[in-house]
Amino acid sequence: MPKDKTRILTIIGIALELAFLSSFLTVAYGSLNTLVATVQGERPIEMDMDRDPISGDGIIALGVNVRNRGFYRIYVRLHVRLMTGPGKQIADGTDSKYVEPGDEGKLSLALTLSKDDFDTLNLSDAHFVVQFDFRTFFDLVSFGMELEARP
Amino acid sequence: MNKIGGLIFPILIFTALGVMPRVALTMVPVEMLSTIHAMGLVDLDRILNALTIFGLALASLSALKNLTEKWTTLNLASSVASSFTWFILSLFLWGAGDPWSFGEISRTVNVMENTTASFILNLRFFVLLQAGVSLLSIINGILVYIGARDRMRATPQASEPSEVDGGQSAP
Repeated sequence: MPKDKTRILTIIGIALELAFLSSFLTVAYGSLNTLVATVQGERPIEMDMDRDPISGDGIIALGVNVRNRGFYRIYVRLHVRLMTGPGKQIADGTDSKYVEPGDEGKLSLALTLSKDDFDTLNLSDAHFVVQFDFRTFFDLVSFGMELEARP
Repeated sequence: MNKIGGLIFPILIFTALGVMPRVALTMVPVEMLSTIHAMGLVDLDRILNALTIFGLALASLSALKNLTEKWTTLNLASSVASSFTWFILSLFLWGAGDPWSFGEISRTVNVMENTTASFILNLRFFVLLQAGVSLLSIINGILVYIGARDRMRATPQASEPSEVDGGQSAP
């Protein structure tokens, strides 16, 4: 009887090891492929600065083209904050979406600044805080990044 | 398992964990190593030393397991300790050198002069899967021990000749 049990356990153990190896390899390969395809794509990041002609508010539009070249659906989220020198947040925007394998998705967000903030905006003093979240493999594996950049 | 066969696995384990990573590292460009070191992503020396220690421990446990009979408690203990050590090794690797992070790696690096980046990589799913595999392996080891012990008890003649011989040769 224990021999049968050990045989069953051995088979389950081998199946788990195979599941572990295949899931890890496909997640690692797919995520790297997605990253490379997104970065090497045509205009991966688009940025545009504009002013509303009526209200005078400033609009900073950001777009990121994500290309899913992996095996699983991915979830991507982008959160951008514009901060002034003393750490005061003057604008922020968020966008998120799921992208199916082999598909492309665009994250678009607009940071709206009031007329006064836009007029007094000093780019050498301000900085962007970019938060990027990436989830894959049924949302079980995730990668998050926060980038603080001063122009 | 014979003694030579029982020593092949330990040698393979030590080669894979203690020798091969060091050889592989000599093939990596020096610029890449200095970049990794400067960014502080992983402490390669610490990881290599830990892998060597894990290699030695796992090779010793494997030798002990292969060179003892399945019905002995020493075999059971080495089997359980081996599964547990493999799990700690996987925790160490999934945590990029920190086993107590349980697969969640977080780092803050200076990318450029005015830019800092914080990364969080969550690989806890793989840690859970590895824990399941290790648990199954431990249960399997215990069942193998129970089965071998029961067979041993059912056929006591197999172990008796040595005792009888010992008794006859004793003064």
